Amino acid sequence: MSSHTTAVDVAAAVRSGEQTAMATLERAYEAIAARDDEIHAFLHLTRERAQADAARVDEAVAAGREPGRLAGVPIALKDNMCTVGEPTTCSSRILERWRPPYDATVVDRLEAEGAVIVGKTNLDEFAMGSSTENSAFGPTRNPHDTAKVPGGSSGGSAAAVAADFVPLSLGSDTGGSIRQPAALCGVVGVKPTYGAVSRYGLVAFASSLDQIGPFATTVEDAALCFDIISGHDPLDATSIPTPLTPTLPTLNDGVSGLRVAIIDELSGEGIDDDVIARTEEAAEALRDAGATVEHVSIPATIYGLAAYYLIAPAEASSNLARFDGVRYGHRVEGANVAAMNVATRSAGFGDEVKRRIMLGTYALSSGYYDAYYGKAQRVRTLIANEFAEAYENFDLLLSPTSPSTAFDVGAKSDPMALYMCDVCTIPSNLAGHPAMSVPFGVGDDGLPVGVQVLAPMLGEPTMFRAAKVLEAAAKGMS
Amino acid sequence: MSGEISREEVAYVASLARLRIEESELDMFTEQLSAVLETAAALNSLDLHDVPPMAQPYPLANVFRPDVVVPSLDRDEVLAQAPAAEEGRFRVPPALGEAP
Amino acid sequence: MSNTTSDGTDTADSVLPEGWEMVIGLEVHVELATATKLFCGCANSFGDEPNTNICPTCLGLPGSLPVVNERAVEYAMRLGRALNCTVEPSIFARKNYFYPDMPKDFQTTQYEEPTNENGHVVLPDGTVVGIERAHIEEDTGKSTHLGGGGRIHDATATLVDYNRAGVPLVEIVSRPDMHDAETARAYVAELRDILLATGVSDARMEEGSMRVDANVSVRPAGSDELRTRCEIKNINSLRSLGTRTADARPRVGPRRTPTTTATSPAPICRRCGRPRPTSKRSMRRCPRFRPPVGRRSRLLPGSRSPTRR
Repeated sequence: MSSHTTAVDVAAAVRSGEQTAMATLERAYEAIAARDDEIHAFLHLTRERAQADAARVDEAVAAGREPGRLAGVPIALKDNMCTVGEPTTCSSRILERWRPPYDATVVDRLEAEGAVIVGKTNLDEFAMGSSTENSAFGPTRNPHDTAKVPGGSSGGSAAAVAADFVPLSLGSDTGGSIRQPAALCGVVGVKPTYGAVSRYGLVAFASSLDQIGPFATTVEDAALCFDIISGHDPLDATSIPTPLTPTLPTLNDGVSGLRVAIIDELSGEGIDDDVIARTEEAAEALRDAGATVEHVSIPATIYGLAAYYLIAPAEASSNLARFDGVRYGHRVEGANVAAMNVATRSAGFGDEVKRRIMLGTYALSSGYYDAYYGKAQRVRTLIANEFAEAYENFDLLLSPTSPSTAFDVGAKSDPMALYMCDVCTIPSNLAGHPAMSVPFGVGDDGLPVGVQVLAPMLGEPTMFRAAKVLEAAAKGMS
Repeated sequence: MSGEISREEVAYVASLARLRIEESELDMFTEQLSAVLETAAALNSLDLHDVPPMAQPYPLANVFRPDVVVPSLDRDEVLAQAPAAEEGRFRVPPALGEAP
Repeated sequence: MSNTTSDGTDTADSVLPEGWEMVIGLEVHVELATATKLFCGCANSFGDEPNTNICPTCLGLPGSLPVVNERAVEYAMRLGRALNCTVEPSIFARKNYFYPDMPKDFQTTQYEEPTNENGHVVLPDGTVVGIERAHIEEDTGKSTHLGGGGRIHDATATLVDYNRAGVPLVEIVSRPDMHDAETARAYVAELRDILLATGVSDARMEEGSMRVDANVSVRPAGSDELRTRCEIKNINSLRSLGTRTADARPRVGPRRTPTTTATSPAPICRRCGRPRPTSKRSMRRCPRFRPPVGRRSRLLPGSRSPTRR
């Protein structure tokens, strides 16, 4: 087996009987054992479950039954997605020993298609961060250079794919937490349209921004995974009720005649020169393939960071209130329940989580609500409206994913510096549109660069088509 | 609206959120939160009075579930995860005062 | 001190000096008689073994999500119409505060856009009592206090049962239009009749499916001021409604209601730790009341449910 074995190839091989799911699983665990001490992508390996998954697939193949479109494909899940009976820690001490009594919907969907759940990956605590350095259990390292961060908050899932431990993994994206680590690790990462993928079983950070999405080494694998995990879920009242158009059937349709525009405000000041250069090369590649690529100004995007760092912490402060030591998770006793709450939360949450909870509480508090949270929600409408206007003239938008390539572990200790990592990715979370990062060359330091393709609501099929063209062009680069 | 937050306000929101911030950390958190709120002050230059707030990107109305019983979780399994349980209930230190 | 007769009716209007009247507003919480809870499919059932009707959603487990019970909305709207309310599109909001019987440490309720507003009830004697609003919200779990003879203040521990958490409630808030205990009793009796007639609740005070809280103050007769009030919670029978509102009057009697502070310690808002707001309007300023997150359940009156034929 070559080292770059894709999900599509693995599934085909397992379905045809050429290799077993169990053997595929063993090879994944061997790869993990060989290098994860160094990378720390995984927090726990779900061996028993994986073996049961693999056995089920092999049985189906042997019996001539349909084993699923992801038959035997090893998959890793960010540790903020519920897996029954397995740890789901959100990389926090407060959930260090928690095992949910239920599965997230996306887990059900993957297993129904024969996927094999091999383990839970590291993240910034409660998905708050851009480097995976906020994990309570130690950082994850970038497989391209272990002195560097993998990005965050889904750093573990990005690294697991970049290190060839697994061909597919799931992350969650609230302000860029799939796309930014995908860019830094040189893999494909997708944030779907808000509501396209069920959030049932995803530990909520900011409920109006969170979405689950795939990491993969190829656009085709990401498309396959997206088609499988997306779609209405009656358990998630925010999930889009109408059937979604699959992305695989039109994946190779190219971009001829498509109108693309580079977002000016996200491609200039504050972005490293080499990243801008790669983005312009990506634009060229799309032109070569028959698309028109112009520029568009979306002025409201410059307010995205400020709006996000009011909205996301506000929603988080409410969503994280439930961690009070009463029903599950860590508890530090107290003389009365309020004292117990305080002691538990103070010991159980890391600094970044505390920071955001306090910020959020303040933004929602009496006298400040309209000035902060209320205002940010209006800026959100402004951003969404300006995007909608842009999409009247263009089919897709283009920008860098991350302002820079991967930085050193420990280099950015100031929270504001880390927040700046999300400047290109945040607007699509606020507006709800889909966006994905596609690896496109390297920076001056030889580290991966990702370019971001943005599409209108439910525009995934077109988005993936452009990503496929970029992927092919990137292969042609030296 | 000033972008800054005072030490007292930080201590206050911490207590609202049931967090204890040590004296030694209070200055650090105050500085960090002030920095974020200063960035937020950039929003003050926008005229937003005609712009409605957006709570959800894909607005849906009347999303319902039928009034039909679905099996519940197994109590033992749930209580096994509880920090303390007694007589089939979750046990906590005394809750002072009445619920609002 | 209280001039009540043995059957609980009061003869004590003479406790108030000439020229003063009592002002009573009632908040009545009603459990809806649906088969399941407001946001999940757990059974809505009284008296079951503790924590046997729980699921990720009503337990507030990480990753769980709420989906609105269609029948709960239907019942709330039906009740609103029976209370002569305007029935409007509504939005759920979160009331954030910490208490062990609250699985998420926020209660999902309705705030600025409730289902029902501006109604009224006509009592048998012709008195009209205004209804400010009747909104939908989820119930909390139940706490039992160990030690200290069951009283909170001497308890050594609290035990929590979440069977009731998430049960659909309608909170009916009256205008402060009642001026004596008898009227208050008649109002509650009328509400109970309406609840039974519409079939939306079994309205059993002794089982907690109907809970009455009273807000009592006094003012110069004929004025429309609203002064510092005394809150009486969990009145658990119509008879005690009479006794307890009568008892409240000396505490808010005219000599003791300057326009400044109340004599009884101001109830503390659990949400913000400050003295409780004295009117619904000032609740808007309470720190932790906020609109829904990620889910905007607009409930449109009159729209046909997909399950109806």
